[in-house]
Amino acid sequence: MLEFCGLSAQRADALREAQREILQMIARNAPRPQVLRRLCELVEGMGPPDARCSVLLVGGEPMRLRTGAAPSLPPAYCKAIDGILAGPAQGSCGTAAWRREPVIVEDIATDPLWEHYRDLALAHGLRACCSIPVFGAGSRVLATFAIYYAAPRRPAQHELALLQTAVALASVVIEQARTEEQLKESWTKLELAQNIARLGYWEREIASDRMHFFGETNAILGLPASISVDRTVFEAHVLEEDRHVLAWSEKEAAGGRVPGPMAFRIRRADGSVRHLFAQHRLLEDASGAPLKMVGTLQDVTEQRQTEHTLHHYLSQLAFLAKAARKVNSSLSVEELLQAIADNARSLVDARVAVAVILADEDGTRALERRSVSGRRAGGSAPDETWLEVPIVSGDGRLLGSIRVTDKEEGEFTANDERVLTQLADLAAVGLENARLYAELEARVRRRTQELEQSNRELEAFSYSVSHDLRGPLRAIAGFASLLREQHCESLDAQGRHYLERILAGTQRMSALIDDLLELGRVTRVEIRRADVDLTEIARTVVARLCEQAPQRAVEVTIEDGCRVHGDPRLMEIVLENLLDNAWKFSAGRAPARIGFGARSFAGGHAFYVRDNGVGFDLRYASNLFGVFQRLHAAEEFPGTGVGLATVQRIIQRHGGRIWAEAQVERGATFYFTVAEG
Amino acid sequence: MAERYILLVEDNPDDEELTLLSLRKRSLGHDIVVVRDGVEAIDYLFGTGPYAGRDVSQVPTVILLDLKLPKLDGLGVLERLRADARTRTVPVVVLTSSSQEADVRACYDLGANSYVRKPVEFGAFVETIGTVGWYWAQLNAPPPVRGPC
Repeated sequence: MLEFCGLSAQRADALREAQREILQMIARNAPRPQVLRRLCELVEGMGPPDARCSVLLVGGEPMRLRTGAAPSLPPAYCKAIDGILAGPAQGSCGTAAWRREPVIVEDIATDPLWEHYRDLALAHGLRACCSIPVFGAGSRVLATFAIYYAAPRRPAQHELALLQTAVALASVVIEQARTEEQLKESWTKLELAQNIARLGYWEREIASDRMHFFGETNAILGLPASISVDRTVFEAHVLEEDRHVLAWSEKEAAGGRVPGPMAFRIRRADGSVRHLFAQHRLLEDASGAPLKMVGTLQDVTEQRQTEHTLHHYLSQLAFLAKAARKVNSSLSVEELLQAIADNARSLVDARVAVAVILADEDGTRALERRSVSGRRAGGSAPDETWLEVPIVSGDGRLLGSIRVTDKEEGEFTANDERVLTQLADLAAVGLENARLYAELEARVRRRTQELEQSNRELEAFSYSVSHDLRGPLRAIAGFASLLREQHCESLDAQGRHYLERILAGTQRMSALIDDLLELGRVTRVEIRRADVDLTEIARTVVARLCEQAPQRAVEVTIEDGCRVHGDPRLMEIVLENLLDNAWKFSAGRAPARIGFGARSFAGGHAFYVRDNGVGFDLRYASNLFGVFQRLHAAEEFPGTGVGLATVQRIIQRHGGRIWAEAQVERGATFYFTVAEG
Repeated sequence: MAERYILLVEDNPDDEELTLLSLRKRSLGHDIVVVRDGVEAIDYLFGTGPYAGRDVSQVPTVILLDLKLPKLDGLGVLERLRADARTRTVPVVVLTSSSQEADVRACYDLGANSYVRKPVEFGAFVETIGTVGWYWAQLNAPPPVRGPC
């Protein structure tokens, strides 16, 4: 009991009464907030009518103050100051906790300690405040106890005594609650640890071969604590088929080896089978002789189950991944359905699995299709267990279902359903893929037909060009020639000039038709590869060119031994075109130089045809190999603009590449490669 | 001995005129009979239709046959000629604009004696046609004329 100095007898009685009430509450284990609240009310009841009390709990780093009880203070005020930091100028309570000593503020309106909270306090009619720190064990500040007044004043002597009593009671209340909490926590941890570990202990004395069991052994065996467990009792619980494990490491101990752990099963009193795991050490006496074995016993049933389940999940996951690959590589619906059914059966250990796709509403899949995996031995058993999950498309349409029946062992579980649902999702993706693939295939087929059709049309067209255009052209050329031969005198110079233009035009057109037909032919003709002597072809072509223009002075260099595996006729066309060009564009040079040969470069080796002719500007040659592309005026150098297109077509059909290097007035070199056929 | 003639099967009047002109530049000593489609060619040779009553033993020295013809095309004509004993050995020169490999092969398969592409350029055309006419009419020894059997 506390001493009450300077209190009237009446006040002292009231205080004693209050003190008793609080202590009774503590003894009753009443909740801390309730006790603190009552403490505030009691102090307020014994003070002046405007007195209002609060208990702020102190804790944390940095130190903060939280409302523990403040039954009469305005809630808005409490809320505003809840959680303030302790500090040298933090109102009465924050400062008291900081200074670890009572702080008496007679006028909140003027005291600098209230600078930050002045307006808040005044707004709630609080004018004076006295706060006293509450200490706990080890002089820790547990809380502050404060009394507020509505007018400026300091507490009277008897009020201070009252406050001291309240502070002492608050200390008991808070400390006790805190201890209890800590205790509870420790117990919880301990229980938890024991529960989790479920450890039993055992000892075997080597000399006497006596065994003792302690700790949770009884609980592990499912025996009441009153029964004392010895070796006989213990071994009686071990499953017969596992008893051979229990050598209790005698041999190892005898042989001086490090004993290994043991895993075995027991049947508990209630009949349940549990998995145990035992580890042990050999203890030796001072002389190094084996003294005893000490070891632990642990029930690892749940752990094993978890591991088993985990293993099961992992294998299912691996299976799903495999199924996903299969589903993604199955391109026909039939294949896919079979894969789904097979996988469904394996995934959940069912005897039979059926994958069904429904007919489409739009009739594109008019017939329902199904695949069955596994066969029942006899007819369908009436009590078969089954599980069915829907196959739903990404946009929510029901595509079909997967149904498994007759699990190999036990019944289907929630996990089986989850796994099947995932398989159904895979199936939906696969079905969608199969549909897209079928669509794609149909589109390709259609496109191929269209292309073949247009190819045929193109061939018919070239034929028609060959035959039909030549006829009228021959007529124009023929009659124009006759006009020139037989009626020349009746035409004036201008008329004769026009006639010449007509005849020149017919010649160009004739060449153009021939070249276009050639281009069409090299595009379509089947490539028949053989060993081709390019050197030989180049010599023949050049000989012909020399024969046609014996007046030209041309230095020709042709490298020996240029051979290639290609279509002989087409290779001839390549060299004819390239050498014709070289011949043509070097016409103004004296001497003209033309070369043919092979050159190695990083990607393999290329053949080249080179001349020292007029060349061209590569900037304007972006479409050098396009049909009708000409870099020179027709008057200057005749040509149809089809030759290089034909050459490129041939090279491309041989899997090769063609390119040019050129400079204006410095000649041109054309390179080409031919892929091995 | 009856009059010797060359049968020209040609539907294009331009080509007909140019061909006749080319042949007449040479003195071949032959008449030139022109028919303008495949059916007319058959009728002429076998004395049918408008040519009923014609003496079909009078076979041409050479037939210059275009491929693209109305009604019955050149290949059809060729086939019919070669299927008939009376015309089986008559030399047929296919004169055409086509240089299609398939056409050339088909003609020879059906028993054409020669395949000549008509050049577009007039000089070359006159030269080519003239040479063909001269070769078959002058140089070539025709198969012996069959008597009535």
